[in-house]
Amino acid sequence: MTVSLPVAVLIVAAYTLAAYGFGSWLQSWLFGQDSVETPSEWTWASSAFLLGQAALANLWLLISLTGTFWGSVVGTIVAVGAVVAVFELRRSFGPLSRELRDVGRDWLSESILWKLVALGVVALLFGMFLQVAAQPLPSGDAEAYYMAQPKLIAAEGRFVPLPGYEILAIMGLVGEMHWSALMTLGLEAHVRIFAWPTALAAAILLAGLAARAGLGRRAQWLIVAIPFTSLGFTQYVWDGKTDTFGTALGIAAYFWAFRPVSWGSLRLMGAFAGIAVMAKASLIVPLGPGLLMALIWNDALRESKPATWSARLFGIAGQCLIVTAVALVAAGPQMLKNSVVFGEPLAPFVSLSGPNRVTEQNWFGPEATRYIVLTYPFSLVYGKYPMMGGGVSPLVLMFLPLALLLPRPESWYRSRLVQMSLIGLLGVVVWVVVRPSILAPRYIFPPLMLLGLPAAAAVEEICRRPAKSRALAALCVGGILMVEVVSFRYWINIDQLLVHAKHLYRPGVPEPKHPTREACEAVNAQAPPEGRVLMACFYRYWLRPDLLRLVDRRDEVYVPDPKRYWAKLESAPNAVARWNRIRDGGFRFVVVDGDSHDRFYDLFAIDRATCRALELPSDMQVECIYSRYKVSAYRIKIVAPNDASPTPTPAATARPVSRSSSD
Amino acid sequence: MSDELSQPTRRRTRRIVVHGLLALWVLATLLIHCLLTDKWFYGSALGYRWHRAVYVRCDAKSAYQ
Repeated sequence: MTVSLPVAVLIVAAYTLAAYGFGSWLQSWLFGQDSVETPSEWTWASSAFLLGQAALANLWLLISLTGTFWGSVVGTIVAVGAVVAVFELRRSFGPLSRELRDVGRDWLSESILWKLVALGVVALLFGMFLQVAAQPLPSGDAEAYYMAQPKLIAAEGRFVPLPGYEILAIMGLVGEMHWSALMTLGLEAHVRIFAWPTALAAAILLAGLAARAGLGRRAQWLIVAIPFTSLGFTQYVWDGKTDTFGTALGIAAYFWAFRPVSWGSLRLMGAFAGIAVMAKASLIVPLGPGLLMALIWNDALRESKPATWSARLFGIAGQCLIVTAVALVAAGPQMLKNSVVFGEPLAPFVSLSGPNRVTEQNWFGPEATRYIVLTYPFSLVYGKYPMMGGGVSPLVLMFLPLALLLPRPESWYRSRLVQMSLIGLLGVVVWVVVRPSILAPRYIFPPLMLLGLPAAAAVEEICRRPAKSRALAALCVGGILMVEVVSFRYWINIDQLLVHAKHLYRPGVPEPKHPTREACEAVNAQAPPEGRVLMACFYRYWLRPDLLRLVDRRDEVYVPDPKRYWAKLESAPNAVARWNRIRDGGFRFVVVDGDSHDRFYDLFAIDRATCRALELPSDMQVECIYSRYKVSAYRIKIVAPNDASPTPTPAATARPVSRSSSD
Repeated sequence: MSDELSQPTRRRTRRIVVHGLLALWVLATLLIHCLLTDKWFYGSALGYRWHRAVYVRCDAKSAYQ
């Protein structure tokens, strides 16, 4: 059952409500009654929604470990959560609409240019919704793993690591479990719509951080514009990858770290930190030292200071213990999954069975790494490096030096803005020291967003006193508008939206497909139930679930050298022996993507122009069932040696070779 | 007396220089962003050549290749 876009939007709305409902209850429980100050209603609701979805992801994971991850179970829980949310909204609707009215009133009192800036931000937010809703295809890594793994879990009703990507299945599954839950409710590629409210919640919490730092409405608009003009953030909202979840949860952890100290805020900080690190393992690097620094700083800022240093140290240690304990509880289900399925409870950070390939990554050589580090922060904003996945908003780079014009705070160490900026800087610096060769803003987006705060504060300050710097103020506002327009033009693909809109409302128009999808669909049409497919191709989302479960495992192609793709198949002496090996592995179909796995054609002696296998065992025929661009798909037929046709079909065998002579 | 008179002038000059430098910075970073990102530029033949020139090719080591 596949649902249409309007129904998908309704289901995602109900799912969002459910996350908010459970989260409100959980957040109120964790926050407790002893807390001195609650945040604004919108930030409270955004935080509740993020906490609720973190809890749901953990719940889905636990249910999937029991093998009962069915649509009926998920649907019942979502319905209960949505009902809870409706009751919660009856209480909070008044305050929420009051705050929204305040924002509207402030907007009306703004100058025309700042009205345009705010409208640009709203256009970016809702443009993102259009992009994610009307773009039905996942792309890139999402097609390879981040949506293929959820598809397999949803189809099986239990957690099954996606063959070939076992190394990624050992990471925490947060966004992936949401995809999977929504798939059990009938959604396919439209599950990605759920990333949009998540991104929105992250943006609202950033505005809340700005308010906490004492910044006004203009700075809040600007800080919301920053993630939505960062390609390193926007493209992961709509492409199906799950980085948005880690980013939002990391920002929530910072949000609670900068609230007035209370047991409640400590518990929430710990919960968000624990699940954020599970959603994006790299966040442990900036969040660990950053949150520790926030705890120490908050203690120093307290009015009623304990008398002795030892008492203060014990106090900070106690707070660390609380945060760590709650973080471990939040991460518990993910650790349980790794323990039960992989025997690695501490993965992905500590490997009990040998070298840790997940965390010990090195993307570039020494020369390129030196160049990248020397060109920070330009490389973060303008870099177009392999695997980087988009940069940070140019608004940060443009306006950060303007912080020099900010008035000197009354007390440097009491300034929340200074505290947030330095903790953001610490997170980035620690990352550069620990992982200099990994240039990927999406890995450390929360601390990078903290660096946007002084930039936003500077612009607000300059625009507040235009008499002193009229030209600079005009330039700043013009720059913001320009960046908004360029970002909108860059990631809102109008032509693509029109094509998909046509398809949506006029089913006769063919849906756009790319070769990898067509090759997988050709295999889907011919493969028997539970057939085995060898994927010389990263992108496997389009395969049928029963085929997905049985595609090649890492141990079938990688070993003996885990770093060299095809190492096991390469070790065979010739093409005939390799065909025999995959036949012995039970594979009856092969999909080859020449863009990434061109070597397959040489290893298996396939002519690229005609897609004919030139060297085959005598009892095997290989039929090309799909070929376009550099992508092709093959069906392997096992025949009695005497049946091997001497006159092959256009896409069939040539030069049959005896099996016994080769392997 | 002359020192007292020149003090506001010096301050004004310093402000103009600092603000001018910051304005140049904002303009330069904005221009580079537009050139690197917007279709008007990178979609053109000149933009493509320039893009290739600034693109840093690295010895990428993918986990899978």
